[in-house]
Amino acid sequence: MLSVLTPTGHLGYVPIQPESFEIGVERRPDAIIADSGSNDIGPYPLGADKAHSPREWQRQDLEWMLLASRKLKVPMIIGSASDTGTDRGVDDFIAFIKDIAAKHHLAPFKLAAIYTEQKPVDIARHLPLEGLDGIEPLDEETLAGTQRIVGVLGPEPIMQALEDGADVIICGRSCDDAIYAAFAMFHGMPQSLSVLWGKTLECASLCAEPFMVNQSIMGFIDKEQVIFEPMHPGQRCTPHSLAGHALYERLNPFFLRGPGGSLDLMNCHYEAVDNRRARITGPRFIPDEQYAIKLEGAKYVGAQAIILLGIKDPIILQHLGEVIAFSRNRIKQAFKGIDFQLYFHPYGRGHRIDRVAYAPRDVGLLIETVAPTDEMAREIALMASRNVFFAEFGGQVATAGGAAQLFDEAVSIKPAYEWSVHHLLPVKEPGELFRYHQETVKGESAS
Amino acid sequence: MNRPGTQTELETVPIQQLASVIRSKNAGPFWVSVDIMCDTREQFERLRDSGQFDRHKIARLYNLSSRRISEIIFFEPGLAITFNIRRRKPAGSPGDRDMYGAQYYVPILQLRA
Repeated sequence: MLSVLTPTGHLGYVPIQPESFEIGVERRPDAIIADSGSNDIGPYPLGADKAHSPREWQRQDLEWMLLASRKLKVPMIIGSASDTGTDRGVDDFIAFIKDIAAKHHLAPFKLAAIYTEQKPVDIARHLPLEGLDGIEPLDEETLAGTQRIVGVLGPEPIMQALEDGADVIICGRSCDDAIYAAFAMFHGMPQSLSVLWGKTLECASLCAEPFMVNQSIMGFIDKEQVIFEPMHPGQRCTPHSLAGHALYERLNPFFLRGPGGSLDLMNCHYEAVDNRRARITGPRFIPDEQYAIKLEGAKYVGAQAIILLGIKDPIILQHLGEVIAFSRNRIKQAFKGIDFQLYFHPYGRGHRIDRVAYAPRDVGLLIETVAPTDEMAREIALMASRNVFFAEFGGQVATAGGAAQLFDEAVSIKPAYEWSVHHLLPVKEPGELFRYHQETVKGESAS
Repeated sequence: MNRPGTQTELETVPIQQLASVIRSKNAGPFWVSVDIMCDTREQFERLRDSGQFDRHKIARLYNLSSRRISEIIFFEPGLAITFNIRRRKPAGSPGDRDMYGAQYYVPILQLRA
């Protein structure tokens, strides 16, 4: 059976646990694969083109994986470089790989990179585009405000890199299962099992029990089945844990839509191989009539600031809605004509999604603002805070200030972005939107 | 002890005694997926047949319009129940207070079956 070792569900997000990874390396897998991306992290990293994870954690994870894959002489595939898979992310990861190769005097190897960033002007020619998850079709206005767009890779361009003999493949934004499916399909496995293999492996130890994060998992595949085995001695893969993972972050555990088609898990069979390994059989892959690439894009909204207040007076807490309305009205008057956003987040009020559930003794009120400049965002947050402090409402007894302040200062945080593109672009060839780069890394001579 | 409903209350148990995993997480930026997973078929069937997992009842529990709750899926291979909540604010946008959707399961903890 073909095997893969996967050490992490999101490279760089939480550092790899080296012990279970080393156990996996001893098993001599046929490839080492991990994804580094997610859109769970919100639109800021994509829009601002910043890594969401600390660079040192990314470098460290890449170092574990590169040293192991070069030692075993097996391919290493990384998806969604630097969280978002922008061109900057791919270039950062290539630079890390070269530095690590030089540091350890590695023998020369072939590095391939697949760039997935898209220019908004190129996308404009294809408008309107179908929206995913029930959102509106993409139009010119939304596209015009969009800072940065990536296309999401399916397995085909990665298979091409394997075909070319690449030892290390750094991918831009990738569908998380595609980086595994590409390796399996390149070795002749059916797409149905290959995609299921990837879906199950993409969060590493989350497909095993008990719950552990970022422990290594090994996956096995042949033309009939996929099998999973945790590398941490305290974990087990069971029919239940594997089936449970089909739910994780998915809208529907029976039907998963991805690049080139959908995976139908209706007739999957989950069974134990022994007490630490389990297998799945029976998935079906239904190819789309029209191959489409998912696009992700983010748009700048404004500068952002926050300020925190503590409120203990039970009378004020009873009237908190009025207090907030008072402050909001003052801000509306003072910043008339300015494009701003103002949010009051009461923590501890028994916030049950939307409703007050019990009488609290103490509430933290976080005020969030978005405005054209950092200075203005701080100014609005501070004024909103002062107007909570000095709010006027019926039944009031305290007239010297209605909040305990940890500090009387609004703080600028990262700018606000929004998801603006979450749409499908039909293509003739799975690879036509992407750019391919290849070079030989000469670790030995680089130092 | 003769209050109406007391008997029913005694026959039911908190959901944590029937499900070993109760969790939520983003399923893309616009939806949050809520998963309830059991260890045994008996527990799963008890929850499934409790009548609690109805789209409209879940909507009431969350104080949300039922348009924001997806259909409820009973996933036998995983002994799990799953449904999705449409977010008011997409994940990580201004005003969103749970960017990973990691606390959307909390109202489920009130259920008994």
